[in-house]
Amino acid sequence: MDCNEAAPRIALAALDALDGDEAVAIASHVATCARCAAELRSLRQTRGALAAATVAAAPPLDVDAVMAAGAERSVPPAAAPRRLALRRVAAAAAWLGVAALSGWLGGAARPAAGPQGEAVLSGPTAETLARGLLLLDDRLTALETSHPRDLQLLAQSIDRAQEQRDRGVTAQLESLALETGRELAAARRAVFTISQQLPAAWSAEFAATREQ
Amino acid sequence: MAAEGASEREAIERARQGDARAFRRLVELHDRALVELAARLLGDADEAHDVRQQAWLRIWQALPRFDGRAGFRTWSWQVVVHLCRDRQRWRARRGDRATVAIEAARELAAPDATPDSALLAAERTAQVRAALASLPDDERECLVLRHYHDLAPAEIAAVVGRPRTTVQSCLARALTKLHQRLRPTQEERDGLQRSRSADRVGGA
Repeated sequence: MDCNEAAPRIALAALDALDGDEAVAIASHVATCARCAAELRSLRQTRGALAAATVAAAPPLDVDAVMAAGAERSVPPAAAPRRLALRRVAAAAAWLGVAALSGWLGGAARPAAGPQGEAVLSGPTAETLARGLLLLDDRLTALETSHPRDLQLLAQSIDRAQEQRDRGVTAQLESLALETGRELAAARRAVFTISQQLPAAWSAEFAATREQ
Repeated sequence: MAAEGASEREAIERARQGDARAFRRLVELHDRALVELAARLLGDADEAHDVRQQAWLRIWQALPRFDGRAGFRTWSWQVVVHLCRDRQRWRARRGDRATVAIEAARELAAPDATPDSALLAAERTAQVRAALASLPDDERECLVLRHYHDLAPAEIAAVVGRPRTTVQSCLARALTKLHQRLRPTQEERDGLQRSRSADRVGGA
């Protein structure tokens, strides 16, 4: 291989992007040609400079939102029966006020004590939580009703936009679907988180009372 | 070109049938590469985040039709590359392509302050990003996949949908252009470092 044959391949050699045979041929040429060797070194330095273009860590992906946005494959809400029981507890807690509920349920329903001995949930906090849970649950129910319809409409529009090769509109519609998915996933998470905050004794005992 | 291990193949198969946990496993394995690819192709972290979400949405929806011929990694990168191309076309129509990165580089390169090493590093980062942004899309795709993701030309060809020989000429052109664009700044930097050490010697 002479310099003319080597020239177009030196950049590829610097990128380690040559096949075995060509890589060997370039290596043996460079071993005997100072000019091409210098060119290869210099291009490797430029390649080395690429390390400076670092990428900042991305926020974690909201996988729930992605799956919720994928309409036809979305996962069925897992804890629907439990939500119903919790909803009844929360409704009662919000309506009666927590003190009354605690009194009614007796000692077993008293909120657990924290590390310093104070109640983890004081009456008003628990009542606020219960009201919050009710609001969220309403929102979640509304979303779960409207969501499949919205996404079906969006999916049809996305198909149409793709048929018409309008990529800008396709991207916007997909973002909208993701936004809808994010909303649904966030509502599911919030209901779950708040339900975890309610004293366990409430749901168990109150649900038991209501079943009778 | 399916390079997956047995556990990944199983995850792909289960995710194809709608298994959420298996899909999460695929996200764990591939998300970082996908978001970094998007960030380097677009030069914008927020847009890269959008593209990555869109890509996973498409992957989740298309998984039942995924036949495994291309390999999951190749396929997922194809999705990201296509989404980035769409965004770049969109940007080009709006006429704001890469100007942000180039402006940032110019600003940082302005010799109005005494640069310390952190500023020099930031300047270098901005310069390399701007140089990458100035490449044509096909050349940037090939170079990013080769250098940052260590793909061989044949796999790059599968991801970008072009013949391997075209990929090789793209790679050679891309590195040569970067070489021309980054070289003067390398010399400037050397000169700057020399003058700074001279200052230190003089001031002592």
